[in-house]
Amino acid sequence: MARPTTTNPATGNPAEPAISGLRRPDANTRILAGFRIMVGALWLSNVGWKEPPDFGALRAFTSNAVSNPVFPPYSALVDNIILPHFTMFAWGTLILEGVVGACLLMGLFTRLFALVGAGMATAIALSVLKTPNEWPWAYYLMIGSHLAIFAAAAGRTWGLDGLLRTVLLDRPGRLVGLLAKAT
Amino acid sequence: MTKAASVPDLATRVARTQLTVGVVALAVGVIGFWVARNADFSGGPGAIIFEDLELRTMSYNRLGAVLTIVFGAIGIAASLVRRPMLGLIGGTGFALMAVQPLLQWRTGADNLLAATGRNWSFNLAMALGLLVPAVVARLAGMGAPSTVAPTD
Repeated sequence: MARPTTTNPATGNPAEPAISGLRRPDANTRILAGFRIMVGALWLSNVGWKEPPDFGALRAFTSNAVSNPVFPPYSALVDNIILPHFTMFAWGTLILEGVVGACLLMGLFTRLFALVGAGMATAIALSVLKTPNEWPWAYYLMIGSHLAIFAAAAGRTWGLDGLLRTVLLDRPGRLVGLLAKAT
Repeated sequence: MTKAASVPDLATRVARTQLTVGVVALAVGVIGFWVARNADFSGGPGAIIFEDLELRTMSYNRLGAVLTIVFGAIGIAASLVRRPMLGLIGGTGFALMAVQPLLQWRTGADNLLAATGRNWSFNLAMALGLLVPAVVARLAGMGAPSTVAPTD
C-alpha cells in the first residue's frame, strides 16, 4: 500500500511527509535535542587534553590497549600501526573529536556524526575496558548514547539539520540524498 | 502549494538560528572576558570558563573573548536586520578562530588567543551555526534583503 502523503505544516510542502524532518518539536524531541547537545559538550570537553606537540596524555591512554589488552586483534592494530605512527593518529583524533563535538552540539549531519561517535566510543572502550580504575559502563553508555541520537535523528529539533533538510529534500541528486540521510 | 509560500517561515527559522548562536557566543565571550580580566590581553595562558563547576571548557584571554563577543554580535545583527548573509562574516571569523590553535601548534607560533582544543571545537560549532543558515538562505533564494518576507 502506498504511504499517504501529508503536507508538512512547517514548510507547506506537500511532497515532504511531516515526520521526515520539519515536524514541530514536542517535549520528547526537545529532551533528545538537549541530550544531543550534552553529548556534543562531552566531546568538546575531552578535546582539551589532546594537545600537540607530544600528545603525551593521549599516548598513555592509547597504550592501554597494549598493556591491558581487551581484544587481541585491536591490541595488535594499536601496537603495530597506531603507536608507530602516533603523531598522525593523534592529530586525526584531535581534529575528528573536535568536529564530532561541534556537529553534535549544533545538530549538523547528526546521524552521520552519531555513528562516528559510536565508532570512536567503541575504539576507546577497546583501549581501556581492562585498565585498572576504569568504569566500563561509562563506555557502554557512550556507545548507547550515540546510537540513541542516531535513531532519534536528534539534530532535527534545535539543530541545523532541521534547516538543512528544508533545502535538501526539495532537490534531486544522489549526493543530496546522501546528505539528507546524514541529517 | 508553491515553494514561495514556505520562504517566510524559513526566513524566520534562519534568523532564529543565527540569533541563538549569536547570543550563545556573546554570552560565552562576556563570561570569557570576565574570567580573563586579570590575564594578558593576548597570549597565554588564558582563563578557563566554568572551571569552578568542574566543567572543563574553553580558555580565553581578553583578545579571544573580545573577538568572540564581536563575531557573536555580528550573528545577532544578521538575525535582527534579516540579512542572513551577514552571518558569513561572523561565521568566517569563528572559523579562523577555530583553526588558530591548530595552526599555532603546527607551526610552533605564539598562542595568540590562549586557545585549547576545546576552543577549536566550540569555535567550529559557532562557525557552522552562522554559516549553515546563511547557505540555506542562499539556496532558498533568500540572499537579497528584498526577497525576505517581513516578520510576523
